[in-house]
Amino acid sequence: MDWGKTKTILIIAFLMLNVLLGYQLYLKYDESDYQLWDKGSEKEISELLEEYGITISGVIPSDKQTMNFIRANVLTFEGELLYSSINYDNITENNISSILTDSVKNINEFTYSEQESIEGTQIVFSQLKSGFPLFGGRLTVDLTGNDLLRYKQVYLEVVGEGAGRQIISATKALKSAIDLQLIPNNSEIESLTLGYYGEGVQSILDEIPPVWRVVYKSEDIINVLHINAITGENVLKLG
Amino acid sequence: MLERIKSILLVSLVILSLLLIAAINMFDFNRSSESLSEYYPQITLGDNKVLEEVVSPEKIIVHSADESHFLLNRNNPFYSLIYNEVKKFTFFTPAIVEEQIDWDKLRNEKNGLELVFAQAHDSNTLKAIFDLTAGFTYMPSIDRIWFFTDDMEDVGVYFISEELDRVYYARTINTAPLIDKYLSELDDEQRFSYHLSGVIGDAINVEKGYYLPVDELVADRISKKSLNFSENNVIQMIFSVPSSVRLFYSGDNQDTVYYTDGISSLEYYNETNAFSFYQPVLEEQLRFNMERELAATVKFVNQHGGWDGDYLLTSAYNKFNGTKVDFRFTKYIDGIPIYTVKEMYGQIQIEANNNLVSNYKRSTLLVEKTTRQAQKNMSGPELLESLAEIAIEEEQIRDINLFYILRKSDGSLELEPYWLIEYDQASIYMIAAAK
Repeated sequence: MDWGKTKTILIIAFLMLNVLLGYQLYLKYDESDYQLWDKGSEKEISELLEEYGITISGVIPSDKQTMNFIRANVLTFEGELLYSSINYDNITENNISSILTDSVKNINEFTYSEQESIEGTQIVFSQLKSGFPLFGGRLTVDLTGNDLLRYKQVYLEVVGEGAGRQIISATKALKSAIDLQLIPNNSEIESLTLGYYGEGVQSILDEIPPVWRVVYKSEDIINVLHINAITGENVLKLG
Repeated sequence: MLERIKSILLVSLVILSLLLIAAINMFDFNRSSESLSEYYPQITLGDNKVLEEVVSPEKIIVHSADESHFLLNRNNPFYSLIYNEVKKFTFFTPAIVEEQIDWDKLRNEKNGLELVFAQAHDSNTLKAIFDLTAGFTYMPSIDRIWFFTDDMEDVGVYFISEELDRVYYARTINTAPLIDKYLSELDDEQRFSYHLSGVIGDAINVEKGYYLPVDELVADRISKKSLNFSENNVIQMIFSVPSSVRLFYSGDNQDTVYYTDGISSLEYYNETNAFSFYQPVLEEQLRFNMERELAATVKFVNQHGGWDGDYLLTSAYNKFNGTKVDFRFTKYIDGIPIYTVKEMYGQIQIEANNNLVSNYKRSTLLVEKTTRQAQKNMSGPELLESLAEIAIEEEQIRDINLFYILRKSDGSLELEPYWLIEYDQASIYMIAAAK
């Protein structure tokens, strides 16, 4: 027996087999939900947006990362605070933090929300979790005049985090919202923001999911909806 | 040379093909097929505890040489102060006390500290708290530890076993001024009077009795707003792979729902807001060691829901011919235990053997918010007067203890202080502490 020849034949045979197996593995990955979820969605979304007359004013974020479900205790605090107008003749989002530092807990976890604030009367701060907004955690400061502030804080104290999981892309979230007919025709998408949805959370028994927050304008009315960034479903307010 | 390269290449190709086959079979890229519950954060009812915390004393009684007694519950700041000091003590050379102890003199004429346990512990378990020197005599069933100043102005210690009617005497390195220091700080605390048990039984060496407040008892009525853990919450808390758990049986009225993962099972009681978790363990008990079983039990609770408050071990006994140990832990609120009859809230029941838990039973209620209402309570003499009115005389009374009686109303738990009176041979009477 010519062992050299036999080895050559076997090498060719195994080479072909490995190419086949490699292709098989690629197909399995390519056909998975995980890959299908985002595959071709950019082209698809452009067609969908055109079909429904929906426009996007900004850029669709390209975040593709791992996030997790969280649990939180809901803590509510409110109070009034006198400040000296000698030091603060003009209350702004910048200096209000220093006025509230001693009275409001964990103020460093809140960030100014221009969208929700009303100039001259109310300043709103949104809670952050790992750099993402935690919708539902909010600090509202009413400027009542007479050197008096009235504040109300809903603080979501995170007590547990689940295992990380790859989230869907913003494009996919948008497609899901259109497929579910949540965005009316001829709307204008103003923003797509990644965060956690804690609106209406009552207790630690509620799971807070990562969400894509879609802000859109329809017939001159601003609307907001939240798409679960793991399942692609519409998230409804709890409670 | 060429043949060698061919051989290496062939072997590599064979290995690669095996790896590719394994990858095709093992990896599941369809992550959406995984249950979402696998990604939910672990849910717990409370915090972790160490063994020492669940076997620590139920109360500390401080005896003053002027016949005053101060009963310090677990929520009293002096309890922590004294306990943290006392647990540093080192004990030496214990020996059974043969002569009769003059308990009256010890209680009323000497300064002393008495640690009272909710459940008798052997000296191995007490090692979780105290530094018992190597070679320390094994002492079973210790209910109380009494520190007192002896005639040499040193601190002596009695380890008291009510069940065995036995007292051990040991020495410690600490000295008398320590006890005097505590006493000087307790002037504003509530004073208690001692009452000798009316039914002594066979006890010769150990004197039994109870303490009642000289003035009005200080105890609030408490209301707790509660949440109920759903079946899914419990499954997530108990099973290591929640997605593998399936509904096994649910009766018509759904009072009890059964789940299993094929190995362990869960009974979820809708009516009583409780659950019972079973897992198979080897029936035969190998080398039995109470302390080890208890440590394994505490660890199990830490890993399966945690402790929603202050719990103490209140019962531990062998069952099924010694093949299993039944542990019961009771919740204390303001240092007062919850007395439960029908409800599971305030109780954690565990069966263990061979350092494994075979049954775990507890309430699914989690307290969210507590409100308290001060109330006027009876003093000790008023209580005895009330009992006399219903023909329970002092000489009939064996023991009196304070408990919180639990009543469940819509979405909240109502806790009211009650005196539990044990009288005659085996009779029990309960009376509200409120006037």
